[in-house]
Amino acid sequence: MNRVLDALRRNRWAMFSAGLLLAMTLLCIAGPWLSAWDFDTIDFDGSWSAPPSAQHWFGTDSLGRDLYVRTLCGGRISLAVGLVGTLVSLLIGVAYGAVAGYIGGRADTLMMRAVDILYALPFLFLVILLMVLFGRHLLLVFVAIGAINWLDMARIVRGETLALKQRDFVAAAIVAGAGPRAIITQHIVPNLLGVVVVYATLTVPQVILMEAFLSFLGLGVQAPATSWGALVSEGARDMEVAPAALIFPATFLAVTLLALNLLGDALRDALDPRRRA
Amino acid sequence: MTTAPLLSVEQLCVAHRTPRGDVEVVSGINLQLEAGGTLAIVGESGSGKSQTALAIMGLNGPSACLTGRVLFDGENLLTASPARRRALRGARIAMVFQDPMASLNPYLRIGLQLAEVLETHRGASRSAAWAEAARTLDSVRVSAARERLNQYPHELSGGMRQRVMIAMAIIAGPQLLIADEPTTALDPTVQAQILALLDELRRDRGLAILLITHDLGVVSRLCEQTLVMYAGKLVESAPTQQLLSRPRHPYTAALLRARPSMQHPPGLRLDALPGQPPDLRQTMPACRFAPRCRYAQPDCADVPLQFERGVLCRHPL
Amino acid sequence: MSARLLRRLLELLPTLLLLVTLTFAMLHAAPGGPFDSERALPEATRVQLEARYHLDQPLWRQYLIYLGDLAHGDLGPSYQYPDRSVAELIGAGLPVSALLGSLAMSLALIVGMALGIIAAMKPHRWQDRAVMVLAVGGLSIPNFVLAPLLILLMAVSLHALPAGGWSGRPQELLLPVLALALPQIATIARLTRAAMLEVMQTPWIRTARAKGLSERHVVLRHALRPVLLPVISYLGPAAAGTLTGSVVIEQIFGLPGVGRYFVLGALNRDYGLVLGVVLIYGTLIVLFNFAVDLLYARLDPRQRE
Ligand SMILES: Nc1ncnc2c1ncn2[C@@H]1O[C@H](COP(=O)(O)OP(=O)(O)O)[C@@H](O)[C@H]1O
Ligand SMILES: [Mg+2]
Repeated sequence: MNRVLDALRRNRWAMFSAGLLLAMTLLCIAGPWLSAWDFDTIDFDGSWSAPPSAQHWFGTDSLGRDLYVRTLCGGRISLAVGLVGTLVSLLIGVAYGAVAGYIGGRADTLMMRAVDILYALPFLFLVILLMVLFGRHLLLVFVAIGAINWLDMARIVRGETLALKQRDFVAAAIVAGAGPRAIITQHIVPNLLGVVVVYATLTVPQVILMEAFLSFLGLGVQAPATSWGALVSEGARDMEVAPAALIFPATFLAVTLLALNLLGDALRDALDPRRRA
Repeated sequence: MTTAPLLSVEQLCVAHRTPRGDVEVVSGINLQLEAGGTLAIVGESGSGKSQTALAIMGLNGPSACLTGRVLFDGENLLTASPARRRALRGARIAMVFQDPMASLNPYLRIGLQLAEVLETHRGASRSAAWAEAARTLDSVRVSAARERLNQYPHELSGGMRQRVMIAMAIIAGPQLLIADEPTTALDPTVQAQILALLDELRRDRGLAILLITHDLGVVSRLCEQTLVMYAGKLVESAPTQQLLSRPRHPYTAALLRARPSMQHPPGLRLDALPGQPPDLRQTMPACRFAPRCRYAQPDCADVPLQFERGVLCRHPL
Repeated sequence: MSARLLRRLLELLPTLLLLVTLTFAMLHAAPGGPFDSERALPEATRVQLEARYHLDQPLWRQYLIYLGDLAHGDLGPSYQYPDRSVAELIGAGLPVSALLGSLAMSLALIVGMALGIIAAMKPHRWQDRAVMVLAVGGLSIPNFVLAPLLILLMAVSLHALPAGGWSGRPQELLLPVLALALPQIATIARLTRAAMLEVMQTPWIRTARAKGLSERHVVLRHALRPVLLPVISYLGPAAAGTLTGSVVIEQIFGLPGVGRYFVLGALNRDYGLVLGVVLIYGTLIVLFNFAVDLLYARLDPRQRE
């Protein structure tokens, strides 16, 4: 882990990305307070679809709401979905992968075969079906997205667990009479930390992207709440009169995804130089 | 009267640019090989044998910087154009590598890998090239040569694969064959067969062989002349029999002591050479072997050395 | 080979069965069930629905009947368009979607591999840097963000291309295909570059060079095939990504494909239509993965037999 942090510190792009992400998060949390506007208050005095001005820093949307505040508030939701969705996929993936890898043998084969089968399913379509059937709750978005992203994590964790099991300290723990539960929680999972952090970093942008996709289609976050995907969708609708309404949320979304991808790549390279791409 | 040798390497240096600075991995090697002759290079792994061989082929890779001269049939290869080098490679100078599994393309049929040499260098038609490929496989005693052409490398045994590698090297009728540890990855019985095959090719086809190995037992069966390398430098050069019976450089002597042999009394410990070869990035003493040498004298570390009368040592044995 | 084919075909079944069962279970677990929805259904549709789902039967019978209908290609009625069946609607949209998807995949494959190879041939030079910047950018700009930006630039500002709609002219597909392909181009370029760099380090490439082959010959004949393998195994996920992406792209460019119906169906809670698209696209992806597996095995001699 220290080795990874060291390598990271030497990678200019990784440091830059980490800084950018930190700034983005702080901006989304604190930024809205700096403005006099609220995310769903309509400015009846100003004009609709106005370009950026001293009044409205990013302009206004087609209903006359302040885009600066809306973009940052949308960012709160997008980032939160990214984190929570990743956490859900992390919990499922690590548990499943560690158990399969630790037990090994038949059970492992069976569990991994199930993962293969699930891999072939069109998950995003199933999530949409879920939304159609059960209604569009934000909570459902969180859970559904998290629940479909655990497969990669499960595969990676399983592979690592298989490797760890061969190591001496695990063998020593077994000889010392530790039960499987204790071995998994005390010896296997802590040693998986590095891999898990790397792949979690790479999962966050995927989750954010999925939420944006659903919201773009009108199936994710519902008004009056908003997210970057929903804002891009609204912005695209009247981009001919007000390109700012598209460009600001689009840039925030793209920059966040870019920083997360760069950071994830750098972390992976640092953890495993052989996979350097 | 002396004829010009087929291969003459003069003051060859190979340096690699790496992220942690330049490393000189071959430092001023000289060697000569007559047409139809044999020459061995021995030394511990990491001593620069492969880099020397690759320098003759021009395959050290993009990070390498080469100086000196490599004269093949009077032509300096280091200043030849890339196209000229390609025309010689495979056609007149061929090379066999250590690991025959990894050195054959696992995705292509044996026949194709053999035939493409002739198609490239002779403009042979596909059918002519495949027919010649079958004949060449036959001549290196691969059984059922025709069927082998349609097989993939993973379908052959290790010894068979090395025979295929050798067939691939000789198919275009080269004058020089460089064999880099051709038997290291093989079982002892197969090793002997491959060495016998190389010897036969030398006799029947007049092929000059540059054999690289870290196994002195292999050398004694095949080569008249032997060079010993240590840390990128030539430390001894002598006729093989003389080198084996009366080594003059302490390093050669140490290699001989570390070698298991038939005559070796059972139960007697082998006399392994202690220590590690030097890190080529560090500054080294005048005699690079001095720190490990049991005969080292105080002057070994600082008085510059000359390669004289076949040995690079102030106090030869 | 035929035994292997049969076995792989049999392995498809659990996936397909799972897909069907999942959709069936979701349908039945939905609050209130889809059939007594808050919205009044036209009488004819309700009768059709009840007949189709045999709501008077026990659950396992319903499931079997559902399976039987699907096996006959009967996807049931649409709630939104009572006079048309789901199969008809999907059939109407499929040609456009298939054209869009296959063009985007082909473009992604050709351009992605070409870029990856160029980058790997000149590691750390400007060519490599440019490709890698494009690749990370392509991964970070979702296609539903790229598409409106492309429209803004090419159609609204430059008037060079139509902003959307479909009357069968090729230039109407240019922007949609580009927007759909870009993320896949990025991924394939990265994959190709990494695989190429690895293959070029192998001893067998050194052997090929030692034979005096030209650099072109070394790349095309000796390196390309192993580089193709990871790209081919990515084709399954790429197809899934392209189908998913086509849903938004069709929406943005107003192309009358399956994805458009899907989104409309989803927004209007047209269960029948959404379910039909999920099943069709799911089956397509599963079959595509199967084809990819077969291709993979053909390209790697060690996997044959
Ligand atoms: N591309 C390279 N860059 C830097 N150093 C290299 C490279 N290739 C080989 N070396 C170094 O050159 C030295 C000699 O290698 P080699 O000729 O392969 O040894 P040998 O064949 O005698 O075992 C080794 O220390 C090796 O680490
Ligand atoms: Mg070597």
